[in-house]
This record gives sequence, structure tokens and C-alpha cells, in this order.
Amino acid sequence: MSDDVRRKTPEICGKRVRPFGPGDRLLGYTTKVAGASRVGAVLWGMGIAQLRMARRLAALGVPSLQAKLTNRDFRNGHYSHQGIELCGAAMEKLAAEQNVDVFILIANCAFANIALNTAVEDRRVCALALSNPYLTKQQKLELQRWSLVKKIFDPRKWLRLFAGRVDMGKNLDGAFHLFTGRPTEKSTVAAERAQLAKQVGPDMLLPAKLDECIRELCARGVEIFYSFSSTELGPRYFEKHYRASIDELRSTGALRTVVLDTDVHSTAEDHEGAVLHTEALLEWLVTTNTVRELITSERSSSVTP
Amino acid sequence: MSVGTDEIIDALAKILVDELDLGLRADRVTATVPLMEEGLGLDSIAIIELIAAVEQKFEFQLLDEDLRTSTFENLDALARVVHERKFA
Repeated sequence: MSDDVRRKTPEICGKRVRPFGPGDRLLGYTTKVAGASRVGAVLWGMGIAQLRMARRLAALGVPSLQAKLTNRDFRNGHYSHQGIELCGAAMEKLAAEQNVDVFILIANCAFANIALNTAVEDRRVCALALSNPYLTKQQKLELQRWSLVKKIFDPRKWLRLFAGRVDMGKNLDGAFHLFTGRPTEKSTVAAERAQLAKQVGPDMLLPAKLDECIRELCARGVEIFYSFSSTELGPRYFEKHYRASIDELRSTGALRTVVLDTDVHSTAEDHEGAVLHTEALLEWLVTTNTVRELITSERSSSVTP
Repeated sequence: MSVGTDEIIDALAKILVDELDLGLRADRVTATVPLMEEGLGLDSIAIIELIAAVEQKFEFQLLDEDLRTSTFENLDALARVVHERKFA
């Protein structure tokens, strides 16, 4: 990374993380930058690793909004609340606070799919950094099962259950369903899962559409960065189904794919995988055509926060 | 001005109890009680709020390398980082 783009200091923002968006369903924390560029980043997740990334972006002159669903919890069905309207609300909040009008969306897992679909709909998105997205429903199911297995064998989780700190009335049924792939006998859980699938469906990415989305975005000049953890199924699906498109788009520089040597799924948590992800993402960001130009061109037209 | 880690711990405890509206009782917030998980149970949002409050209170910014879970293991660990960055 060259010194000419590493020059800004993030402002210390307000102490509280505030709810916003439709129905106050989002929590957001803004990292502001004095004299920011016109490009801002929406980062999904509220972890320490993402705050670290937010500050690295701020050093480049890119303000950011860390966004997270209120009470987001797969086990409780809040997963159904996500959609491109929420991603749009996060963009609007950042636009209002930092006067940015072009956006980088940075997202992990299911949020990566939401971000991709948002970019298709919203032409203000100039770059996408997506890590460990679901590429197929099968992959999603396998990932959820593996996540559940890890939870089952985590003694701290059991301690919490027995200590009564988690309401398991609904969760156990939902967990059983995810693990076995079979519906439970309780109709309430089945109905909830059906409703969840219905609501998530439109914003989830299906293989046939992925190719179309990526091509459309690349044609529009949107820079795309896909990162996968080495132990995940994503890279194999990606290579198997989209090899021709990937090779073509990689050759134009519009798409970059990276496989990180890590066994963690989430880039939101504080571990080595998150550090690798941040470094790879920033390295990509400053070598892109569109974003680099937006970052460096603000010198003569600084935005006052 | 010489400020010791004990004074910093007291200030950090005051932030947790009085400023962040986390519903924590003062007697639970000790120097060594874990801030997350089975300790005080702070989640990622509370940690971000704590970071912002600490930086405002002590008028400095944590470095990239400080933004790690180990910094927020307990108030003693956080106080040592604050002391090193601000007062050492």
C-alpha cells in the first residue's frame, strides 16, 4: 500500500451504538473521517475485527458504517429480517452522516448475498468484498449443520443451556431440524422454518443467478472481491459451476477471488482468519481502478463531516 | 501527570457501570472479572461502545494491534494498554 493513500485519522465517534433503519431493525456504528473521500463502506458485523478494518479504511480516507441486525440470531429466526432494504438503509445512514455518494459493501456469509443483490439494484455501489457467501442451498445447509455440530460439542454452550441463559423452547426444535434436515413434529417450528425460507428466498443467491449478477456488475464497472476460507465448500462450488466466467472476468481484472488458509467461516470475529481477510481485502481495494481513483481524487474536493 | 493502572481501572469501571447503561452492578465489576462470556457478558456491541468511551475519556486512540480480544479480557488488561498508550 503506498503512502499517498494512507493519510487519514478516524474520528472518535459517539459512545452509543444506535438502532436505525426500517423498524429500527439495524444497529450501526459509524467511523467518521475528516476530509473523507466520496466513497464510504458499509461493513456488516459489529466485531472487533471489523472495527479494526473500519479504522484501516479510515486511514485511506474511507468512512464506514458497521451494521448489524438487532437481536440477530439464526436460532431464533431473526435471519428472516435481512434484505436489501436494510442494506439500503445502512447506505443512506452513512450518506447522511458523511456525505458519501458511492459505496463499498463488505459482507460475510448470508450478508454477502444480500450485498450482491443490493449492488445489482443500486448503482451507487462501486465495489463489493464478499467472504464465504452461500453459493447453493446445499452448501448453506451443510454449513449450518457443521455450525450446529460445533455448537453441540462446545461445553460452554451446554453450560449456558443448563444455566438457563438461553431460551431453548424453540431453539432445540429448530436446531434439531437444521441438524437432521428433517422437520420436527412441532408444527410451530415447521411453520416458522417455512416462513423463514419464504422470506429469505428472494434475497438468497441461486447458482443460476450468480453468474448473471457477477457479469452484470462487472460490465457496470463494479469491482468484486470474493474470499473463501480454505476449508469451506464455497471454492469448490465456485470453481465447478463458474469456472469459465471466473477465468474470463479475472482476466479483465473486474473480479478477484482469494482462498484464505483458514478454517473459520466468519470474518467478523477476532482471529487470524479475520486478520488475513482484512489484509487481503485492503490490498485488493487499493489496487482497484474505481475505488483507488475515488479515494485519491478527493484531495481537491474534501467533504466536511 | 503520573497515573497508575489502579486509577485507570477505577475510571474504566465507572464507564462500565455509569455510562454504558449495561445494567452492571458496581460490585461485580472488578479488575480481573472477564468482560465477555461467562464474566460480565459484554457482547460485541458493548465492546465497541466501551472502546469509544475509553478513547473519549482518555483522549487517545487504541492502535490497530490493540484491537484484539485479549485487550478486553478484563479491566486489568485494558488498563495496562491504556496506561502504555497514554501515560507511559
